[in-house]
Parts: sequence; structure tokens; C-alpha cells
Amino acid sequence: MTTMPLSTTPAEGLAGNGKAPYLDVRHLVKEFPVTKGAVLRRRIGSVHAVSDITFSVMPGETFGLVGESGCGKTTTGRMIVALEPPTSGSIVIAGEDIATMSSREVRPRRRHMQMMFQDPYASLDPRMRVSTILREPLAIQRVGTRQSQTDRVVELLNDVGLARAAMDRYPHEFSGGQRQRIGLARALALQPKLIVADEPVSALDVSIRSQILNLMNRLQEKYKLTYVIISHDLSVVKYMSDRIGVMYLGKMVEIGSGEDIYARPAHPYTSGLVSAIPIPDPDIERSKDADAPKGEIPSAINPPSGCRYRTRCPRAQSLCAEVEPPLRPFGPQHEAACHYPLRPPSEIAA
Amino acid sequence: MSNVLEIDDLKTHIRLSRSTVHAVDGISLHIAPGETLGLVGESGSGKSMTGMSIMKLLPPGGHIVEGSIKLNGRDVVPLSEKEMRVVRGEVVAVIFQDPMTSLNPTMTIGNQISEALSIHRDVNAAEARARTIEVLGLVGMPRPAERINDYPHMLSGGLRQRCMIAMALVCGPSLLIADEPTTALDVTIQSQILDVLDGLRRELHMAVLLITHDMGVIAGRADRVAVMYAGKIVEEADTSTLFKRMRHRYTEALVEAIPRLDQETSAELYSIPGLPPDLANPPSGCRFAARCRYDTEICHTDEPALVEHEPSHRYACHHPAGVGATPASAEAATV
Repeated sequence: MTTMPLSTTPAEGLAGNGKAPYLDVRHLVKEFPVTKGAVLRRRIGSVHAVSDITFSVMPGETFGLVGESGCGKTTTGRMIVALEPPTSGSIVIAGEDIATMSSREVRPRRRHMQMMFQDPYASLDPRMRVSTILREPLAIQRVGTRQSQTDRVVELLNDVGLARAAMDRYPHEFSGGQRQRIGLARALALQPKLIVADEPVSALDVSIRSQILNLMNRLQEKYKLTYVIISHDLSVVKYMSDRIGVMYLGKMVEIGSGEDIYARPAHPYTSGLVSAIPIPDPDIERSKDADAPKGEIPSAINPPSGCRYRTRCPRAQSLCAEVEPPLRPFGPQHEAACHYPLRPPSEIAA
Repeated sequence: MSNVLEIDDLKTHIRLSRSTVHAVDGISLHIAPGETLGLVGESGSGKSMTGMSIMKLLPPGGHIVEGSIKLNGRDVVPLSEKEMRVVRGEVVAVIFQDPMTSLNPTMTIGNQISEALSIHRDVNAAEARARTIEVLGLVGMPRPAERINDYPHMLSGGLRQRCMIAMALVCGPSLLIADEPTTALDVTIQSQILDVLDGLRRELHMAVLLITHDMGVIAGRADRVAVMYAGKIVEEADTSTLFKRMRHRYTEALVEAIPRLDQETSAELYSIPGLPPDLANPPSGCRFAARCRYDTEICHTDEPALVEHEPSHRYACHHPAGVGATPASAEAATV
């Protein structure tokens, strides 16, 4: 961890010894209504996409969010960049709670938080030239003159390793990796402090992924960016992140460093997730003792009572159905929410 | 025992309006009964086109130019479409990446599975139903007798993929082609599906061609591995040899470019520069040379042959990893 070039400040999130986090998410909840009928649209229930999650990210830190599809990681990311209003809870960015703001109040603050999307084929307008795509955020936020905007576009292309000639071309003329570079350049256009990257390399070929991951790390160092990286791929998240949050069915089940999550998981779900990930080494892969989780993720419309993982958990007992486990400390910066964890919790909160 | 699949010098081209893509460019492969061969490569490497050539289900413009594909000793290349229909399902079957687009949304899964059976076998409705339930049980579908009346949208992605496998298995093929069978699924479901495939291979002594881009999946599930790059097989060996002593510089680069969960990777990942070559105009020499750290002049002029340099280990590289001296130009390139 010592040579990690990613973070300029050590992660102090939970203990909070005087340094303010750049992003502070508290008791965040998002419920989507489930309706019936075309006209009256009676509300018959809710999808509990995100159910009371809390975490913070220090300036310059990379926080990874992992989990299976339907765990609420993407919804969390969209709320952080104000693309989705939360049902309740707070999202404090640089000291201001954007969750309670009106969209008019949020708008000038959007330039500080940007999003990078998964699919570089779907997230760039095919009818726009690259120069227009990159100028658009500047034009919307009324930043600079036309000439200074053009200069900025050239600078952005240079930052992401594309030639100046790319300006006059259309997205279809680029490969997937190059398009993801354009997506990153667009996210950087307004000089944001926080970038939420949702599955930034999942759509890319293996040999191209590392180009984008390395580029993201270099740009983080250059511009002192704070990253939230969302992915189902724990290997990618562990490589990029200082700390990782593991989500399951709308809940944060464990938070810790990459090593905590991989080598010292406390939550049975984390351990199951880790053992399900194939490692490119036949000796390790064929001698795995832990089992991957059985069954499938239950519906988020009627999530299980108590601990939401209990229906798939090999350690579940009756208490798990009755009482929802709170997050407890398992070491410095390491927390998990489990009644019967894989290792003993720390005595008192550090 | 003789091989289920033997491919010899297969060339599959795709004619486009102005050019011809050399999608598969002279590959040879074999798979024994009960064996899993992993075919690994990036998109455009020709791995899926190899699978589709075996099924003879090529896209418009696609055609086999040269070579033979023997299934249980019989060359399928000269067979007519009518003859192929018998081969598909009975001898070879395929499962694809996305189970939602491969299933018919208007038919129950039970009818879709027994449809294949009624085409290939002379069975009555009760027999077809019994066999369908049996096969669904084999692939680990919970309560198969009730589930046969479900439509695809009522099932999760993992259960849909189980249906696809059941459909592929119902006529008892000797070879199953699994083309990125778990890429659309979550990792926990991926390991369940791969367990199902592994179990079936062992129980039914079926040969499996596992096509994937994921080196981790290959490491855990394949007996042997063939690495494809730009229409060619560049390296082939049994799985533990390949991962312990990879020789081809492309294989080496590919593994170095992936972040590994079990290792502390604080340094930058190796990133392979550039893009794969355009297969309408394949370069002369080694196809990986333009992106390789260790290329010398010979790599750009002479194509390296795929030779069994070590027992059961074939590779096509002028400057293989761990053999002889590393070329001088490499020192400069890696700095």
C-alpha cells in the first residue's frame, strides 16, 4: 500500500481526526415505487434499492463500491452525482448537503461532481463530433469564451492521450477504449473534484482495460481527484481503491481496505463473493476451500427481514431473521454488519 | 479413445461489401471425450467464429474456405444444411452468452426444450415431458416439474442459462460449445453455472469447448488452453503448463494486464499498447508484433510457425518468454 500513487491523503474516513471528508453519505435511502394500472398507477409497493447506507470518502481517495447486480451500487452512484433524488438521508459534498437542495440549487454544483459511464457506445451522442461532446458541459455551465473552450478541448484530449485530430471525428470512428477516453475527457471538462465511475472498464477488452485504469490513476494524481468506482469486478475495484464498500440488496455489509476485504473478510457474503471470483492461477483456483454463495439474490421489493443475506448465508441462525445486524468495527477502518462474523469484532470502536 | 473434435487448418472468411475479413486463419484443434478445451482471446480474435464454424452457423458472408472439421471422425465442412440439422443437437450443441436473447419469449421453457427433442427423436408427448424434466433436474433447476410451464421472463439470468444448457443437452451431444456462457451473469451465479457444466462433462463424458475472454475462468475449468490472437492460435498447452510457463509474448502480456485479486498490485498494470490488427489486411510476420515489447525485425517479416517446442506445448513466437536471451530491443522498450 505504501507505493500507491493514487491517494495524496491517507484515508481517515471513519475515525475522522480533524480532516473533513470530501463526500459524506449518511443514512441514504432510495425507494422506487412499484405501480399497477396504466391510468391510475396505484402504488402497490416499493423497490428498496438503497436502504440506509453510510460511508465517507476523503479528498483524493478512491472508494470502491462492489456487489452483484441489483445491490444498489449504481443507484448510489447516481444519487451522489445528483442524477437521482434520494428518498431520505444526506449526501454532503464539500460541506454542502445536495440531498435537500432543489434542482436549481444543485445545478451550479454539478460541475464539481461528474460521472463516467459503463458503455462507451451508448453514452456518447453518435451525431456529435468529439469537439462538440467535450464542449457541451462547458457551454452548459457557461465557462469561458468559445476560444478558451476550444483550448480546453485540446487540453482534455491531450490529457486522455488522444490526438488533436480526434476533435473533428465522430464517436463511431473510435474503438471502445478510445471512446472510454472520450467519456473520461468529458467527465473532466469542468475540472470536477469528484468523479463517479460506473463500471468504467466492464465493456472493454482485457488488453484495453489496463490502459484506462492506468490513465484514471494518472489523472487522479495530476488533478487531485476523488473517485468513487462502482463495479461488479472486485479485482478491478481492489486494484483501484483505497477502501471498498461491499453492498448486498441495498445494504452496506462490509467496508474496509482491499486487503481487509480479500484476506480478512468478516462478513460471510464478502467471503463468498471473493471465493466466486476466478483467479488466473490453476493451483489457487483448484484448491479453493470456501464456497461461493448458493442460490440467487432475493427480490428488493420484499427483502428478507433482519439480515438481508440470511436466505443464502451458511451461518444464519434465528437471530438473523429477527434483528438487523448493525455495522461493527473489525479493525482500523474495517466494519461489517453480521451477527455471526467470520472473525471476532474489535472490543471497542477505535 | 478417438477425439470428438478435430479441426485441421481451418480458414473461415467473412466477405463484406469491400473487403474480406480473415476471421479464422488456419487453426488446428482437437478435444477428447470428457475433456474441456478453453479457447481464450479478446473480441475479434476469431474464437467465437471458430465455434460458429463447427456449428456451421456463420453470419451472412461467412464461409469456410479451407480445412476440415471432424466431429466423431466425420468431416462436417462438406455437409449440406439439411445434413447439418441432424448434426446440430445430436453431435454438437452450443450455448451463448445472453440467455434472454437466445430463448423464445413466447414459449414456455418446457416446450422449448422438448421441441429440440421432438425434432431429433421419435418421442411422444409424455416421454418428451419426462426427458425435459430429467434434463432440467440435471442442470440444477429447482422444482423442474413446476418450472417447465414458466416463460423465460419469469426466470432469473442464472436460471435462464440453466435452461439453455438443458436445451443443448436434451439430445445428448458429444460436444458442447459454451461461448462466453457466464459473461452476462454475476460472479456468484457464474461459479454455479460453471459447476453445472463441469459436473455434466464428468457425468456424461461430454467434450466441452469453453470460449471465454476470462483467464480466471480458464484457469479453474479447462484441461487444456488454446490462446487465440487475430485469427490464429498463438499458444496451446495443458492448463497448468500454460500458466506456469507461458511462452508467447501475447499470453504473457494478457496475464500481466489483468489486476489480480490475490496480489497486492501497487505498481502500474502492464498495458498493451495499440489495437489488434485489421483482419481484412492482416500484417505480415507475427500478428502481435506491432504491440509487442520484444519485437525485432524478424517478427515483422517472418510469421512464426505454431510448433510443439516442448512436449504438448505449442507456441508461435520468435522470442518466447523464458527461452534463450531476451532480445536487446526489449530492454529499451520496457523502461
